[in-house]
Amino acid sequence: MSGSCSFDGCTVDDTGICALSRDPKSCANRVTSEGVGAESIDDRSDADIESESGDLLGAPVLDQPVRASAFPSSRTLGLQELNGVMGSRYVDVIGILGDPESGKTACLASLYLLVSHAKLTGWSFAESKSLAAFEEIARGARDWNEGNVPEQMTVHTELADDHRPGFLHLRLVRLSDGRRVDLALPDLPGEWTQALVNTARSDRLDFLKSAGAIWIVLDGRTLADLEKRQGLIARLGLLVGRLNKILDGRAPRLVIVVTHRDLHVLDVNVADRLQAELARRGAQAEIVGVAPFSDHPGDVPAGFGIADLIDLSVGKPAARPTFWPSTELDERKRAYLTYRRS
Amino acid sequence: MSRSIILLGGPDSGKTNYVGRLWRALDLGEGVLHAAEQPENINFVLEVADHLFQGGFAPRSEYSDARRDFEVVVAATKGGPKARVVVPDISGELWRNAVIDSEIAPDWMNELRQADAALLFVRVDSDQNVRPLDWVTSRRMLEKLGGEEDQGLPTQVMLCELIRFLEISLADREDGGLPRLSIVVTAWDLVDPGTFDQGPAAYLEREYPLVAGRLADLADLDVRIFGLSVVGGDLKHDPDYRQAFLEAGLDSKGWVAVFGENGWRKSPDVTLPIAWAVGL
Repeated sequence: MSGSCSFDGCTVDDTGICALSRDPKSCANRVTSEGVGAESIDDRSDADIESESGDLLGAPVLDQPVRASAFPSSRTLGLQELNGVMGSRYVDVIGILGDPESGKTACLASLYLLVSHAKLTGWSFAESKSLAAFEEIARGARDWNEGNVPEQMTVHTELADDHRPGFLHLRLVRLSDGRRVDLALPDLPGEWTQALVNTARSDRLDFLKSAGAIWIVLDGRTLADLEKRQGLIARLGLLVGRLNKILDGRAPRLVIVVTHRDLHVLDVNVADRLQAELARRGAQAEIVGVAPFSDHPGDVPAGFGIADLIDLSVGKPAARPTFWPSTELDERKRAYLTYRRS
Repeated sequence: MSRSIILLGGPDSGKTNYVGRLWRALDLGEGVLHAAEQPENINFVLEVADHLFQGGFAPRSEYSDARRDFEVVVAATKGGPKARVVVPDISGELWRNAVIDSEIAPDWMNELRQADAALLFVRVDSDQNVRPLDWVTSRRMLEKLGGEEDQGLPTQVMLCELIRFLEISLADREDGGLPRLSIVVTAWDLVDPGTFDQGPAAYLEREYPLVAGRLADLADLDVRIFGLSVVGGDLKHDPDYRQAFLEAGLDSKGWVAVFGENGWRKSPDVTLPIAWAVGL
């Protein structure tokens, strides 16, 4: 902005010609600044101007930045940092998939609130390497940069306002047996799940191969809607099909997480159809109804079902094929021992 | 030999008042630790002690910008091994900002790296305590309804992050032991007898579940929890106690809750949290 004009980059003071080819005398930007009664340069005495420039001459142009030593951040962990943690102890990676607005972030926020109020039944907090990220999530401060869906997992960065997908770390103690469980919960945009279903884009979700459990989050309101539920169930089938391809024989526990339990209890009929759709793809899953937040706290408390979800995710190891199967002894087939006897 | 001990805690957690009271106890020499030499600069502790002598608490350090260190050579026994203890008094605001920005001025970082012990202060019923978010507030924030007043970082998250900083930066002790951390729950005279008997650890578990969980899971620090009352009662709201306090004097007042054979008891020796941390 020049001295006599409120328009940024005005050239009249320097060249006498307006870059917007307006008449300097009638230009709205110029007129307002003078109309307010701002002192124009011409009115000021030369001494004023001289003393002003005298103060500025030789002074540093910018303030010296304050130096500070940084602690390792406690925001979301990138894949590399997660690898570091996994190198020192066993970490249960949990895959969280679901369409946008299905309630993935709400589940994470509610889990954090339960833990920070010591209300997660059967579990207590031990440590988290990403407390700041949990705080951000619970405050709704983690917007994907103004709606632009990020393209990759977080790369370690010191930028304070950079919200990239990454893992949240949470170490819990199971009260029944004192076992410590490290969870790595990814906070991912729902668009990634959509891209996986629609266009089989799976490179960003490679980490699912090391997941011990996968949550597929479904919006309970959609499942309760007669018109919308069929589409959602069909998409679930497609998603499981894609997962089968990514996982390539690995079988993490699948948990179907149905949100908005406070508004709609999942119909038995719908649950059967979900199971049928999964069975068609050769998958098995548990279905859990959760209410991260509650409109009817009297009937269904906020955080309902989250503890069950954690129990299911780390409870028992997934069924694996027997490492060394024992077979029934069949005398007739012991070919070597019966060699030349018969 | 010189060792630095760091006092941390949020705003209004009672750090400064403890330093003032500690100085009196060290000078008097009746506790486990005593001052082996009279320190050169006792301006700062005298100021704080003056407030206590007059039956009031020192104002919050937020209002004084300058860094104030208290340096004293202590010994456990006459003629025994000595340790120079530097207790930098830092405003709680500085620690809160360190947590929010995840960074700290380089000279404080150096101070942390040189220290092998720390005292972390938490005050009972402080008006500066920030409760964790609840579901109603969090939901409104998630849905961007607006109109929610952001209370700032919950106290327990700040404490957990401070513990993490200490875990990363404190140096091992010269004898090879783990760095020591005294958790000091101040204003412990305010709790009811039932809570007193359960001890400050149970209090932390109830009020700050994240902190209690974190402390139980610490592998890199040696932790002990103390309850502390700098003057033994409430000078602000209890005029009778204040009268009695002024008449009896500071030296006989104030105690530390320690765990003994018969559960939690009051010990008049306020040097205990720092004596354990120094570990002479």
